[in-house]
Amino acid sequence: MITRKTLSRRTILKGLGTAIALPFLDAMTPALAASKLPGDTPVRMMFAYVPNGIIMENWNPKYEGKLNELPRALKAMEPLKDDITLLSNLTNNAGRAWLDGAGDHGRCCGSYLTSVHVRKTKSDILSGISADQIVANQIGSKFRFPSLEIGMDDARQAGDCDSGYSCAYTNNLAWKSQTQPLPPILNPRQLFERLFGNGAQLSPEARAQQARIRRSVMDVVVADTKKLQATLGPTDKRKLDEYLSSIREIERQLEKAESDNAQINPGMDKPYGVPADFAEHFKLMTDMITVAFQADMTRVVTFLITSEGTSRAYREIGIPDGHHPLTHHFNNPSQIEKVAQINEYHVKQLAAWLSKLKSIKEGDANILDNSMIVYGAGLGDGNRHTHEDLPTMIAGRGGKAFKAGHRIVHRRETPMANLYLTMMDRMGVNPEHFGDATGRLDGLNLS
Amino acid sequence: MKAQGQGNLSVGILFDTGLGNRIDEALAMALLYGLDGKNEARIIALSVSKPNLKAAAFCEAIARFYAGASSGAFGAVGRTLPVGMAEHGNQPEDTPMLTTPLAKRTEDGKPLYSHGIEKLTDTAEVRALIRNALAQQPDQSCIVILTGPATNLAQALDLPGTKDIIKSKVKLLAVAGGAYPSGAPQFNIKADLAAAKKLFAEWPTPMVVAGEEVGAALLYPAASVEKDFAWTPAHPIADAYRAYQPMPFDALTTAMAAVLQAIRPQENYFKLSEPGVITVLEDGRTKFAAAPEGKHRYLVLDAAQQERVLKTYVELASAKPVPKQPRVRRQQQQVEPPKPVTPKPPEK
Amino acid sequence: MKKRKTLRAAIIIGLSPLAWLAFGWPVQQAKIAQGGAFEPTIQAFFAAHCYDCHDAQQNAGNLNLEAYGTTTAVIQQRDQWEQVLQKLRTGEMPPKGMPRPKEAELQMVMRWLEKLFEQADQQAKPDPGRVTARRLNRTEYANTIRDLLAVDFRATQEFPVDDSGGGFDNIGDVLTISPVLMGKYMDAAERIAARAIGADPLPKKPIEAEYSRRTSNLRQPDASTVEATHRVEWDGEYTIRFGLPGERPKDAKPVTMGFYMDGKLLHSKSVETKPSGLVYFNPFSEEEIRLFLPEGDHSFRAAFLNDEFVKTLDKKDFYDNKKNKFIGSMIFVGPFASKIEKASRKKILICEPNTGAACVEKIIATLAHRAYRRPVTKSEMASLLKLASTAKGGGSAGLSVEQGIQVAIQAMLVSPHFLFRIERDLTPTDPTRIHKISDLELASRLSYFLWRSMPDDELLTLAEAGKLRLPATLNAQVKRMLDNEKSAALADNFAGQWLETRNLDVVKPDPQKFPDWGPDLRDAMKAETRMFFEAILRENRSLSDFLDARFTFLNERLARHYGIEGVTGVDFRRVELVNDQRGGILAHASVLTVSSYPTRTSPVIRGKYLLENILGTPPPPPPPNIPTLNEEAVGNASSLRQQLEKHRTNPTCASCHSRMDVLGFGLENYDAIGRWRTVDGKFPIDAGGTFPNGKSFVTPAEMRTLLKSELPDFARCLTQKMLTYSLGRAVERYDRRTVNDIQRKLAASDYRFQTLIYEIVQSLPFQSRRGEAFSKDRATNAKEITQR
Repeated sequence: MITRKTLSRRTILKGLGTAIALPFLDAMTPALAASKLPGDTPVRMMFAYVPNGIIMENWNPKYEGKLNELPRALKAMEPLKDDITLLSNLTNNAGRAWLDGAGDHGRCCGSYLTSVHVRKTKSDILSGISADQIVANQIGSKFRFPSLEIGMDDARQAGDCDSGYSCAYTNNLAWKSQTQPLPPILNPRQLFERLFGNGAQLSPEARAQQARIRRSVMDVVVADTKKLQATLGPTDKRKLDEYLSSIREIERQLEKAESDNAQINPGMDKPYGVPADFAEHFKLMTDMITVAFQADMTRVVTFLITSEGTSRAYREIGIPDGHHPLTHHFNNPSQIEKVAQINEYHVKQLAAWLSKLKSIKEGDANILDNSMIVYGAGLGDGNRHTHEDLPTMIAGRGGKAFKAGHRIVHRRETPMANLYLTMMDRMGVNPEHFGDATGRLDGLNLS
Repeated sequence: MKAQGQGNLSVGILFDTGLGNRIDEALAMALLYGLDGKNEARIIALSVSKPNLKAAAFCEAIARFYAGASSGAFGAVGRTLPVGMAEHGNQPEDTPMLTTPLAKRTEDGKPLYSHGIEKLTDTAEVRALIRNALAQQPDQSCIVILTGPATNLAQALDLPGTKDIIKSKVKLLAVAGGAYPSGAPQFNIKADLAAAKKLFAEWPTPMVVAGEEVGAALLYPAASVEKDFAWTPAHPIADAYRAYQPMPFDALTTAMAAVLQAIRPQENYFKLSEPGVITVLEDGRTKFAAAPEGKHRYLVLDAAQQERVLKTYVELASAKPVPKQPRVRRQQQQVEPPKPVTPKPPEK
Repeated sequence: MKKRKTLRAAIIIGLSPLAWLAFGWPVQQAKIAQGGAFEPTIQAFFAAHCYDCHDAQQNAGNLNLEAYGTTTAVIQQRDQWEQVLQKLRTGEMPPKGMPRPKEAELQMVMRWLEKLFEQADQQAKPDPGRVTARRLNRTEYANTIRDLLAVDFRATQEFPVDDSGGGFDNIGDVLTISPVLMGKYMDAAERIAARAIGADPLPKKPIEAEYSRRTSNLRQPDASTVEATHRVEWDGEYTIRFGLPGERPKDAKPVTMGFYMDGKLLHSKSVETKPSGLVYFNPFSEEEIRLFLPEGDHSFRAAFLNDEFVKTLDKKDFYDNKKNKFIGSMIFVGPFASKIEKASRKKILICEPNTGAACVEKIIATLAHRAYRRPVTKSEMASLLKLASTAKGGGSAGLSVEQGIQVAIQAMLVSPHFLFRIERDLTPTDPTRIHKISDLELASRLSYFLWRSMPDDELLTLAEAGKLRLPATLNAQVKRMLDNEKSAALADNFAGQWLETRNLDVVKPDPQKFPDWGPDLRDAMKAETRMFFEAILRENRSLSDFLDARFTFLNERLARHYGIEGVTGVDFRRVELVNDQRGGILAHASVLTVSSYPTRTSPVIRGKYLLENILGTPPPPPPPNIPTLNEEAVGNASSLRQQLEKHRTNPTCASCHSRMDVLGFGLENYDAIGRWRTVDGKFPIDAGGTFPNGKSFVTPAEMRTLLKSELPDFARCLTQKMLTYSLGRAVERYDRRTVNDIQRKLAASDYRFQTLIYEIVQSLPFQSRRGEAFSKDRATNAKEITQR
């Protein structure tokens, strides 16, 4: 019944397996944006996370205030100097051991956006709702996707992830509930299908029919589930709640997709498989996020660049050793150098993408201006597993809100959660309290 | 494993001081480190209750002097424990007992007492510091000691969730301030009246309070400063003492009493009042009213013990630092005489 | 100092006569003194050998034994004391440099502790625990679709990774559903239903997709291998054409070219590589095969197997078509309708649906019954039938009867009854109410344990007749299921995760250091371990074979890797081992590779691997702020061993590493991809070692022999892992009793592998469950103040 279009000749001749970069046709942008833009500026909130800490000597400038010469790890950001803010001394107390012994990688990642000390367990995971999801719950329903979770690291699938901590803590940033992490999409094709439908461009009739069938199918299963739930214990109930809320989310997206009849044209071919090359993979994922921003499909994104504690090797830049083992360098210069290069390599990819965002006009500004893209790590010094002075950078002005172009040093022990509160405010969500916050972050806003 | 060794940690001390105001707070800190060196106490956080960088700096200098520039708190071996500092408060001015020791230089011009605090951002946000430090401790394993104005603790009480954490982690608050059962308005109380009111009204755990009358009755002998601290030519406490007032003078010891009672209650250095409720009056006086479920008690001098108490003050305050490192074998540490092994008789 | 030593001596002397007297009887004593104070002999032992470091002041390793005076206290801190017993058993405590206790004393204390624990377990109220509703993980989903609809669906390609807990990816608590995943389920259901019924028309003209060096969309892991990820858009037959540029010298031998899909060998054929004789400007030849390919993203690989010739070539000549013949392109042409009717249609359309409602109802009822793994209720049937017909009625298109059925299938595949394995309680919130799970639930537990898939009709029928639990029947069924090839799932999923060999897909040995590493070697490694595990399972061999066996499974590639002669070709076969370089899983390249760094071996990782996965005594995490060893410095100044030994002079480190490192070093003869070696860089390998208990070895083989003497520990470890895997929940304290029982039964059956499986199936936690108390989440805990 679902009539699927046969692949276009063009696709075939070019051969699959490669994907062309997005052409940012100015013609496309307004068309897409216009269909979506509400009166206000579309402010986006995004968190891009790198694991295993950073070589901090290469991250923190020797000075405060206006940014001039950037330290080694951030060199690639030079052209964007005026668009970023560096924050120092932010602390994630929830990542510390407390009484739970080893497992800083598991803790620092599981608590990064939740600001909650996660339960040390291999099975019955317990964290908190993450900052991004609090925003998604508030404003998400206005957009096709309340939030997007992406990543790049097909993490270890056997064994333990960090002494006694479930892999759920190291493989996820976003937590929809205290027990429900939102796994990132790692495969470019899967992200493409999520954003633009599963490739088969259907005729309007076919799409209407597909929607109709799906809806009636969902009605049936929802009814079944409700009956079922009544008879279950608390934990099983919770499992089915996750199921139900996910179904509702699908229903919502269905309506959304119908209400905005504009089928979004990504302007790129559907990618196939996962590129082996880090930079290529990074580019594919971020290119699609760019379109999602352009078309205002979502305002909240989390990007677990690689999973916490990952031992991925970076042959792309001639580093065959695993990232994590390297970071335990015990001040061995050759090892430190390798980690430094990995740090630089990550920032380089990011910088390239941010420049692209900056190049895309939006209203009287550009997409970068209107965004708050936090780049950082859950550990400061990966060698000693420090949880204070986490490397943290915000790119963008959140729509004329932040002064940017500065390094702001906060007082020691200032909670990361203060940053999240400040950003939530900017997203129009003004929670009284979040995690272990002690208040809003000063110095960031223009006023 | 969580349960492991919990019971074996020595009591965690959160020390909040108006360092720079009155010399007894410096002495109290020395006394505290004396006990820390004997593993009777474990300092988990330091904070000064006045917006004064010199005070924070000297606090850190003292910490480094004793802890060898590092501390076990925050799992931070090799890193200094962040020193908290109030952003607002009274007595912000530099005092000689702070400036003089800090100004001292070695012959090659380096500060004699090293510290890393030059600007506000070198200090910790005090509410976060207190909350974070406590959150990491076993339940009911901590004692908070307040030797200065209540500015910081009062603020901490307002931080969401913090009261619960205090309730679960802290077993006792020891305060130096006020006069009991009655007396003239006392310095620490007056220094931040609003905070003192709030503290006595809202603090969720039991409290023991050392009043001025206790400190005034047990004066620290100036002679000891010259004699017992002489094991090193450069002792921050001794220098502070000399800078505080023209020598020789005997200092009152209200703060020391609070520390000693907090950590060695079993020694009965002091008698305790019956439980009751202390309220702070508008004029800064403190009023005690007996009440069976009252959370407050104040120290009562025990004439029989005065000698012993002074001796203990001197012995602990002038004790040499004991560098901390991961404990392994007793052989590698100072050896106490072994106790003879006495197997318990089987229950029949 | 002096004084203390003499004092300790005094105690020991004073004690030992007591000790041999005491030998034996303290055990009864422990009964009497249940909850009471230690016997003097026990107390004296700890005083003499432990308090020195484990007292209030020293509190070494956060352990203060002085604080314990009563057996109740010991039981309360059971885990800690299990470790104490462990350390005594292995001889790690008292540590080197301290006087050894007399063997008799040691035995006495250990017996006393064992007995104490045993009593505690006996007195503990039996508790089956409670398994959280399990969402099908990717493997289970794919297998279930296979057995339900005969559709080949690659869940691993379509669904996000399942998080794992306790080392396994089927743990109910950890398996969650996100909107993304739900979306995937929706799409999958739609596609699978469509494919099953096969209502999709194939394109009129076949489509061609080319992967070649020219368009640089062809990956070349090595000179003899090409890879491409290709989406097969329709189930159907395809022609795959291989372009083979170049030629080799006149005397070049033909090579076997293998064609793989997702790592599975689909086809292999011999290819001529010497000059064709035809006059080409650019020598070139083509090969062609025709195969049925299932819809989905697949990674396809073509390779010249055991290609000796390229080894003789210079890197720069690999793709020089005058010097070498290589695979230059893969072209997929299709789909072509396949002659034979789709298996899925045969399976689903058990009658001709167009004959009317009766047949449609029959079809849907049969499917739902199997999809939900239980009889379907009237109301469920009603709504499914309604779906089928409304889908038919409505819609501008107007759907055929078959398409109606397709919609019903679509609904089943997203129903919670399909996606979850839910077990019911009469009183869900009463933790004291223990009850047997229903026969149907048992049927599912069995099939997902042994097959990672749905129960087949025989199981369902027995369960519905209430006959499944009859002891004879149950064992007979387990036997039947083990004999069925589907039980290979145990090797793929259990072994793959227990031994972490799944990570072979993730690890990336350094190509500079290990040019041999490549897809074919990787797959060969996987195959060896999988087949070895299956052999032990199917032949019901002793668990000790895991630790050391005189046979393994090899193909030419792996045999060459191991330096074993006389194995040729791509096919695996059983090989009897002649020398003692190899034997048992600890000599499997797979295991040795996943327990190494990309660039080098790590005795610490391997030691930890052994403690965790083989001996079941995972080392406690290193105490905070104790620097872990810097293995990087190795190879420059000193050998790894010297490094580690330095590190072990620190007693804190020694307490664990004394055992861990010895184990790790025992495997130093195998490099980071499991090749045998006798030197590491400039340092000769010294694989010998001495365990804390004094037993020593020189070669890996000797170490394996020593490990065999710890068979009970290994059995216990395997039991815990298998129990976790079979239940889909972490093994808890209250499962100790079950584990002990099974361990005993294993010993009695001299550790036959299948005993483990039969006993788990019979065990309390596998057969029963209980309600759940509400206070599960410590939401009110002070340290989790918000978002809860």
